[in-house]
Amino acid sequence: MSDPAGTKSDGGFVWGTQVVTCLDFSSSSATYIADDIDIEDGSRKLEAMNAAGVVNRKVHIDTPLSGRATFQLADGTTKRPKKYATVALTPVGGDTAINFLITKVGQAMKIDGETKIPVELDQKLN
Amino acid sequence: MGVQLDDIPGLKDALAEAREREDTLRSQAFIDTPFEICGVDVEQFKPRHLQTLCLVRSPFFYRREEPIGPEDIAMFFWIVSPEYSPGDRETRDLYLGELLHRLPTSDVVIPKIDEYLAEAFFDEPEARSGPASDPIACMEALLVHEFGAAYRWTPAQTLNTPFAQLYQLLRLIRRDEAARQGRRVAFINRISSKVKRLFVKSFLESEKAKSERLDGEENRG
Repeated sequence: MSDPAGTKSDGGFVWGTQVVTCLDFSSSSATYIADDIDIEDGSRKLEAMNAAGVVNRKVHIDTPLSGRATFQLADGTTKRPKKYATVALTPVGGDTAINFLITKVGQAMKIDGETKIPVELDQKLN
Repeated sequence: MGVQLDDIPGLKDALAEAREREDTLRSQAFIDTPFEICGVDVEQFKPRHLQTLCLVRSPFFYRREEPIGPEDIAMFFWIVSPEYSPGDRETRDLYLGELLHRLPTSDVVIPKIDEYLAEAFFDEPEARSGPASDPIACMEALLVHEFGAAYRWTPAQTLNTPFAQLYQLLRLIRRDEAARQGRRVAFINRISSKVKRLFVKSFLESEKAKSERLDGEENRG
């Protein structure tokens, strides 16, 4: 559906919970259960004003996707994800995975043999 | 990879069942009726029960060589009983005398008491990874401090609130605190997180076996 005049849809992806593989710079991989995925598909705005200071033109520029998720370790031998590792997430109903960089790895929490780690993500562009 | 968990056969139903169990455990913490263990009425487990059990060095919290006996079990029931009255020896002796005659055998009661305690501590906070730092206060002090700061509760109010309620509220306090600081905290749901991990593990193993079988067939062909 196209966006109504004067609006731009934002954050329309649904991600669910998914099994993901992280690939770090040494090309070693690890599998995690990605949960609580919260990705923002935003934009920034440039505005131009007329002589009276009223905005009369603007343009929205896409910004890379960014967000957060929680990674549950797949088993006791899985290591915590590394910063700048690449992870591909697939939106629910979408067939194209989108690559993200892990930009922040939070504090791991453990109970009864389960471990979860919050991470922050930024879309990988190249 | 990018496999949606909903696509893993059987996981959706198993997760629904796990979440229902978690939901039941959490909701029952807010129902103000006495619980029952093997026909004996007990209150929901509260910090003041833990304090008293620790004072009498109950073997349910202190390891010792000799097995847990009927007297230990009866004392546990007295402390968590709705009839408990500190310092009232006459009532205690009557209660214990009557209870010792009708208690089932230890092998029946002990697992039920363990289950009651496990349910009370179901939402106990997760441990941070890495070496634990030395404690600077006891658990009761931590709870009194957290609930005093968050809800302005008195120490008595906190110590008389079931652990099963306190730990759920503590999760929300920590979630909100992290959100105010722009952080996110990971919370683990004991039953559903385990179900997810076990299903994913089994799914990945079967996918690996399938791909190895296909590779083998291709090589033979």
